[in-house]
Amino acid sequence: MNSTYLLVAAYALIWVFVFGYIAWLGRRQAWLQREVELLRKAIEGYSGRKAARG
Amino acid sequence: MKTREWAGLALTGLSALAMMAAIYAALVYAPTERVMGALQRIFYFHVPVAVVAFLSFGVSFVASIGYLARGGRRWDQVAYAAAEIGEVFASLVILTGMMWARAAWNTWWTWDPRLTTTLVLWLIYAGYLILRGSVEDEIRRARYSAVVAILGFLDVPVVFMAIRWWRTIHPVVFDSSGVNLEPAMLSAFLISLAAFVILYVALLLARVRQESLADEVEFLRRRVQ
Repeated sequence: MNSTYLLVAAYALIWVFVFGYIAWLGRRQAWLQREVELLRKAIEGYSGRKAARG
Repeated sequence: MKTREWAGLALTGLSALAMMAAIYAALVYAPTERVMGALQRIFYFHVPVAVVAFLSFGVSFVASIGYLARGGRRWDQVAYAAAEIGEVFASLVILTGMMWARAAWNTWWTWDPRLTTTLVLWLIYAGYLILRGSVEDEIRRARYSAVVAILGFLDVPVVFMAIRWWRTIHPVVFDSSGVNLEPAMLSAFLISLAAFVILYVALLLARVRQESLADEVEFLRRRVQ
């Protein structure tokens, strides 16, 4: 197999892995932030209803 | 924007710049090696990636000892983040090594001591990540994982010494006589190593922050229930 082809493939593979991992981290970060906001809103809503009743 | 976010952004920018310098150094600045030709340039990324994988498993090892000795969720978060990033880099070490082997040895894989011990290391940390996903109880998960990370790290010096202890066909660049590299090649290697270490620090900080956020989600979920 052509060694230049292997060199290009090796460098491409490194970047696919690194950017793939960064993209996965970014997606997970966005999902976690959305979850935190939703859960905080749910807790605030529940506390507000409880205060109105009490 | 908070100071921590600015620091994260600055580190990401620095990492990108360092990586561009590393690519230039590896593909343009470094001279072409006489025997291997262009393929030798894999070395400028293969070895720094290996060093970062070892460094990451070392961080996981220290944090795991910290967790067992002192307790505290932060130690476990660092150990987990470092082991995961270490596994990503270890995968790259094996894959780029296989590509080099295909051209140099005419085979994708051989059961050479260096390759075998590296594969064992990869399997140990794959087991670590599977363990983390399969134990429900937080404290038990952290404790078992810490034990695996500590025992797993014992393979790192074995991987490093494999080419010195046993007969091997893996090239030896750094030996007791010093560094067997041209000055320009050594510079390219050091630039690449610095770039990967900066990238590693940026990834580790981001991953540890993410674990804190995951804990917050878990805490809020319990409150909602």
